[in-house]
Amino acid sequence: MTKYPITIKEIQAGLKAGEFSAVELTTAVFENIEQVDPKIKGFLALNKEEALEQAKASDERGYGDDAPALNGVPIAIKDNILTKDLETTAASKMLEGFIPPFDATVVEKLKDAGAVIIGKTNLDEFAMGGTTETSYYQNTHNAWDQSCVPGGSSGGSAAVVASRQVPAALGSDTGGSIRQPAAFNGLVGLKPTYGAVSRYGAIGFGSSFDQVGPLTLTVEDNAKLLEVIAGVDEKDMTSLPTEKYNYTEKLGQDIKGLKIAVPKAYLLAELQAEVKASLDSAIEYFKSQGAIVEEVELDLFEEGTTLYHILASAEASTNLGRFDGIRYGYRSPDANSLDEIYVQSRTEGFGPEVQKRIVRGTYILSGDGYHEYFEKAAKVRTLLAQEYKEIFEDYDMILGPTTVETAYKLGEKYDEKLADLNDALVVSANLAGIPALSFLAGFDGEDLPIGLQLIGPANSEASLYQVADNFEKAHDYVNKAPNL
Amino acid sequence: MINQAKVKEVAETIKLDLTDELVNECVEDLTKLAQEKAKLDEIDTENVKPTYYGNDLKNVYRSDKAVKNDNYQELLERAPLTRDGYVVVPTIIED
Repeated sequence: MTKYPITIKEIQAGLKAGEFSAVELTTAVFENIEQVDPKIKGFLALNKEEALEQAKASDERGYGDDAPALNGVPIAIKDNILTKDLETTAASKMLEGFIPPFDATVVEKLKDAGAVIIGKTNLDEFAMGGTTETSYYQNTHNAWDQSCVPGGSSGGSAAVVASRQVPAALGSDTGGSIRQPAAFNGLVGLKPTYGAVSRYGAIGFGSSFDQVGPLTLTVEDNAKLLEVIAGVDEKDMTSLPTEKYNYTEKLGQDIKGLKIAVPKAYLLAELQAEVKASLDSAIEYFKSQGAIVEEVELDLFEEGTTLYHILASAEASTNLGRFDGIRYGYRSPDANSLDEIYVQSRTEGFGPEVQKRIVRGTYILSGDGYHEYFEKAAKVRTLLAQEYKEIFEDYDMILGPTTVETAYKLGEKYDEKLADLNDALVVSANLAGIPALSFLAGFDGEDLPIGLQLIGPANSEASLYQVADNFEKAHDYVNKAPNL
Repeated sequence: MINQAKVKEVAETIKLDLTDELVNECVEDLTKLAQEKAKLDEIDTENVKPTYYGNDLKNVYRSDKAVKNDNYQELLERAPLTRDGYVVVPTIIED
C-alpha cells in the first residue's frame, strides 16, 4: 500500500493522472488487507471478486471531468448496512449467513458514484455497544495500540481506515457510534443531520436516532463522501426533502467572526488532562483565527444519557421484534412449536447485551412504563433540543471533547460513571437530530489520538467542515500514521 | 417493583428466555434506570410536547402507483424452510 496514496483526494488525483488504475489499486488494497487486518481484525467479509469487477468498470468509465464522484475509490461498509449478495450480519449470530436481496440506498449511491466496495466491517452486535466487543464474531483492535479498543459501535470501520487499509468507510451513529470510534482512532467522523442520509437498508436500532455517516482521514474526504450518500429517498419517509447537498462549499473560507460556544457542562473535571489541554489549545487556535469562542451555560447534559438509555432501548426492542426465526435469520433447530421458534431463535440468536437492551426497552414500553419512562423522556428530549436551538440563536456551533479519555484496553471493565459521561458528550446530537463532527486534535502521552467535537444546528454540516478543515490544515496530525 | 419475577415477566412478553445471570444483570440495569429516571421527574415538563421523531417532517407521501413485486422468490430464499412458495413453520394450532 506504500506505493498508493491513502486519501480519497490523492487516490482520485492519481487515477486521473494515470499513475495507476483502479484494478491495480484494488488489488493492492486486498494484498495490504492480508498483511494488516490480522492485527486489526476490522473486516468481517471481503468483497474481492465484485470489487475487482467494480474497479474494472471504473477504469472503463475513465477519470475525466464527467466521471462519477467516487469513481475507482475503495470504500468499506459497516456490517449493519445491507449490501446485495454480500453477507450482512450486524455482527450477530441472528444474521449469520444472511445474504441481502437488495442494497441499502447509501450503498446504491456509492455504486452509482463508481466506488469500489471492499468489504464489511465489524461492529458491536446490532450497533449496541461502545467498544465493538459485543460482536458475535471477533474483537477489533485499535489501529494505534492493538491492546486497546477501537471504540464502537463502528469500531471496525474506524480501525480499517485508521490502519490505512481503505481511505474511507461508512459507519452508523445512534448514540455516538461514528464519532467515538473516530476519536479513538484519530479520524474525521460525522453524524449527519437526522434525515440528511437515507436509513433505507440500514438495520434499525433506534429509528429516531440512527444516521449513517462517513469515517475518513481528512475533513475534505469526509465532506465529499457525505455529498454522495446524502439526499432525499422515497424509501425513507424520514429523509429530508433536499435532493443534493453541497458540503464542500465553505472549505478554505475564513473563520473570522464565526461564533463558537463551549458549554461549561462539557468541561468535566473527569476529562483526561491531555484531552482538556487539546481542547484549550484548539480554543486558543480558533481565537487566533478570529473566531469568537465563549463559554455558555447548558442545563441538560447528564440527563441526555438517561434519555438515550430510555428512548433508544425502547425503539430497539420494537425494531428487533422482527427477528423471530420465521422469514429470515437464525431459526433454532430444536424448536417444535411456534412459541419455541420465537423464544429459542431469539434467545440463541441474540447476544447478552442485545437481550438486556431489549428487556429494558420492553419494560419501558409496558404498562405504566410508557407514561413514566417513555413519554417523560420524550418530553425532556424536547427541552434538551430546545436548549441547543437557543444556543444556536447566538452561536454558529458548539465545540467540546468527543470523549472523556482516549482509548482504553480491550477487556477492561470501564468505569460506569465515565461511560455515562462519554454518552452524555455525544448523545445530545442524536437526541436533537443535529449534525456533529469529531476531528483529530492531537495525541496523548501514549500516542493515542484525541478527538474534539463540533456540533451545529440542523443542516450546518458545511460550516462544521469549514472549521474542522481550517484546524486540520494548520496542524500536522493527519500526516502521522500508526506503526503497523 | 423491579425484581427477578418482573424481569422474567418482561422477557416472556418479548419472547426471550434469559439465563439466571442475565436476569440478575437486568434487575441491576432496571434498578439503575429507575434511579436515573427519578432525576428526570424533577424536571418540569408540564405543557411540554413529547419528541418522538428525529425531525419535524409530517405526512410524507409518495404517489399511489402500483408497482409489481418481482422479487418474492429472492425473499423466500432467505427463509429457513420453504415449500411451494410458502414459509414452513411447525403446527400452530394445537388441539
